[in-house]
Amino acid sequence: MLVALLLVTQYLFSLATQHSPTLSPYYTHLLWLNIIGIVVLTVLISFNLIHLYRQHRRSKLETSLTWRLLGRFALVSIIPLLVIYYFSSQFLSRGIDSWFDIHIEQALDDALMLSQSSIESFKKDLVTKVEANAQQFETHNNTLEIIQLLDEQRESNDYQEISLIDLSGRVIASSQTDPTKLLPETLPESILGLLRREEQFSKIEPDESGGIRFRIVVPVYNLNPNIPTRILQVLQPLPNRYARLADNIEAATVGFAKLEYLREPLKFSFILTLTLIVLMTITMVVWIAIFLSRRLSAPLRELALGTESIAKGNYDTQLQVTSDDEFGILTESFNDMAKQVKLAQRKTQSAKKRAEEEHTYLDTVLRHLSSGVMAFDKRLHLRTANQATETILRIKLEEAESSPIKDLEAKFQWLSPITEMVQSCTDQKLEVSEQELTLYGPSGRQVLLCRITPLPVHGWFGGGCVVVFDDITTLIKVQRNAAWGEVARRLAHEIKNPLTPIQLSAERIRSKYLNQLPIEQRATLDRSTRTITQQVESLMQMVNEFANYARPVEMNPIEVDLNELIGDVIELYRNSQQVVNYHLELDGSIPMLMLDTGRLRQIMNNLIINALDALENSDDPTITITTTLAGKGDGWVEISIQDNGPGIPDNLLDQVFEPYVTSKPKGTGLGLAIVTRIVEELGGVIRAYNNSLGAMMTIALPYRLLASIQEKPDQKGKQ
Amino acid sequence: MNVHRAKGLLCLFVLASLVGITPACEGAGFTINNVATKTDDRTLHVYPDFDLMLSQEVKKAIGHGIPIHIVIEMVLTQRRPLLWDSDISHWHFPMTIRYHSLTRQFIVVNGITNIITNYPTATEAITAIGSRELFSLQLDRPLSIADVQYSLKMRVRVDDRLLPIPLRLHTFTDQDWQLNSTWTQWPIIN
Repeated sequence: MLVALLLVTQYLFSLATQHSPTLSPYYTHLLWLNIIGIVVLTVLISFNLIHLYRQHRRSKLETSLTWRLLGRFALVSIIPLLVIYYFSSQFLSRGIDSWFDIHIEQALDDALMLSQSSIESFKKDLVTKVEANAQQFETHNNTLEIIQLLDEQRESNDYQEISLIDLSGRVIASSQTDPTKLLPETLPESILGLLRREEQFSKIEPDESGGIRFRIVVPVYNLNPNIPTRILQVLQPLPNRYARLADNIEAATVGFAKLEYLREPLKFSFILTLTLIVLMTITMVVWIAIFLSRRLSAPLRELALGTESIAKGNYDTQLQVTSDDEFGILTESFNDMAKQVKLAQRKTQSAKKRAEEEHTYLDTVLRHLSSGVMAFDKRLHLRTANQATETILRIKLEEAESSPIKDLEAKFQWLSPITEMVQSCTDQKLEVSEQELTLYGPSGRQVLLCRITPLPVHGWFGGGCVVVFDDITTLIKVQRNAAWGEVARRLAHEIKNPLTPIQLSAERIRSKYLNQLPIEQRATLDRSTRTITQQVESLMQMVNEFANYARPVEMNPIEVDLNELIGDVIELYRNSQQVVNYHLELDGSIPMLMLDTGRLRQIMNNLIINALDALENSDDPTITITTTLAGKGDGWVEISIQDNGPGIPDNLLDQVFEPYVTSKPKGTGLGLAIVTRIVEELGGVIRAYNNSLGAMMTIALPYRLLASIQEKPDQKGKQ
Repeated sequence: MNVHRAKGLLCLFVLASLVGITPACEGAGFTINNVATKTDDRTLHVYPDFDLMLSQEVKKAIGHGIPIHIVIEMVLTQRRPLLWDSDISHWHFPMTIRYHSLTRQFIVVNGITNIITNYPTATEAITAIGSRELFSLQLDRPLSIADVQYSLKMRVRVDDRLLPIPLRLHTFTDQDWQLNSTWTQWPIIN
């Protein structure tokens, strides 16, 4: 509406500029109206542009296209406008300048001069005529005569008005052509002054009708000296045929002079009008450009907002189709796409829910499995492990998950058999591998039955392997105990049973026939029966010892100071016949431990006896006993017995803990085997090796299993 | 800045700019030195003392055939104690000065009586206009001066509406065309 109003005012302004009689008086008002209108439109445009800019800063998504369209529309319109303006203003300026040809000006000046000369010449003739007329009044003093003479002179000379006036300016008599004119023309004082000085006065002056008339004023002398000098005034218009020409020349000259004077203002006003038109057009163009660009970009903006809404997850977004052009088609396509996306999203959510349920089910199954399950990806990073893994291997899953296998090995060193197995199977690309592994961890010695299965490669997440393991430590122990028990029972039954009758038979034979035999045969009988009895006893002893070895190790742990117990054991040996130097390096930080004192004494006795046997022929026999607490919690309590003997024979070093392996002529070979069983029952590990000093026996017992109730790490952790 | 506040400031700026380029009311050339009045039943006799001078540019314009229309405006007002003055009557006395190139005379035309007087120079013409000593204004009813306070507002101005359109713009910006006198107010005593 504002634009329409401006157009109307601009039209009226242009009419006023073209000297419309109705609108010309309001030229200034229309000018100001146009300027105000342009300013208002500019202000509105500015506010719109500011608003658009702020929208752009808030979200480029909504206004980038609008700005581009606006810029292009405005550019396409304004540049040609400016070009037209420039050339139009130049054309206007030069066109106006071309009106003022120097020849025209010269011609008009010459015509004016010619007219003035003609008129001057006419005036001179008239002056001569009037002077002659004045002489006729020299002898006439009667008013009636004067009036009559005036009329005659007026009619004969075709004067407009002839008057006889005295020197004071009073009209004596007058004769006029116009009967309606009551009073004759009076003389101004300046002219009267001239006449008083006896000078004549002649003037060409414009009359009321716009034409030219002559005013000739001459003195009238009287022959009668008593009558003062009078004045004769004649008013004579320029004859018609000259008057018309004079008027034309006057009009042309004035018109040209006016135009020449208005040359620059005219140029300015035309250029101002042109400028206002151009300004108004530019503002209208920009205004329309804003409107059009908004309208054109609105559908795209809606689409962009709709896309953003869908990207944020609002799949119910549907846009209104407002046109049936390409934008309408695009909007419909968008709506279809949104529906498809919503449908796909629903399916995805449903599939995801199912997958989550499956995962939860699988997770529940895994969690409740008693077997440990660890899944490694193709980079051998631990992807998944179930609760049983944590329980069996004594590791924290949150520390282990996603760790590479090497980090696992570094963090939980007791897992090295498993990690080596995994690495080995992966390197060799084995299909399935099953192994029995022995771990020495916080739970002590554990025997795990591990089965590795490689995972098929499917897409991005395939590959790797699954390790399933069961702790068969207890099972093996039970099986071994059962096996050994069965062997012992059978041995006891099959060997001990016949041994008793053999021994009894030998003793009966000895008792019955020893005194009946000749003296020279008695010694043989005595020796033979004695041998049979001794060997039977030896066999019985061997069977008993084996039965002891095969018997399950029963533990009755009590709270014991390990160092004190070791000290007591050593004290007994200090007083024995064999002279040995005993050095005790006992770790005072070892707290009270839950141990079976009898079994521990048995261990210490067997080991010390072995050391003493090795030091039989030694010059300076020394036995060093060391206790060390290598960390609480998942640490170990170590007991070491070092002797300075010849060491364990190399060929026996690998078998020294097996039953019936001995380097001593009289040994049963079960001492270390029994020690090993007790140590294993305690969850520990025993090692034997030679060093520069001699033989070293080291027992490592898991602290976790031996800690007293006050020191139990689990309970401490709970505290 | 709040958008509404920005709009208000911008409008204020535009108005101030318009005021800045509005033609000045202070006249340069026409001065009303004094005005004496005398009432006579339904006639108000006004005895003004004008001082009218044309600038060189205006004289040049007249010499180039541009007629200058001068208007002597008078307004009879009644003073009211609580409200603004009430305008009772208006009078306009137009006079035109133009140049006759053939006779080389400056013509003064009385816009009311159409009487033409000629002068050899524009200065004499404007002086003649300013030398008028009496204006007799006809009233609708006699003035009750005893009861009411009356005053006469007067000014002399160039009627720019009758100037050629290209020249009208100059009257706003060219000091030589700033001839109008201010409104002057003269009490009517008797």
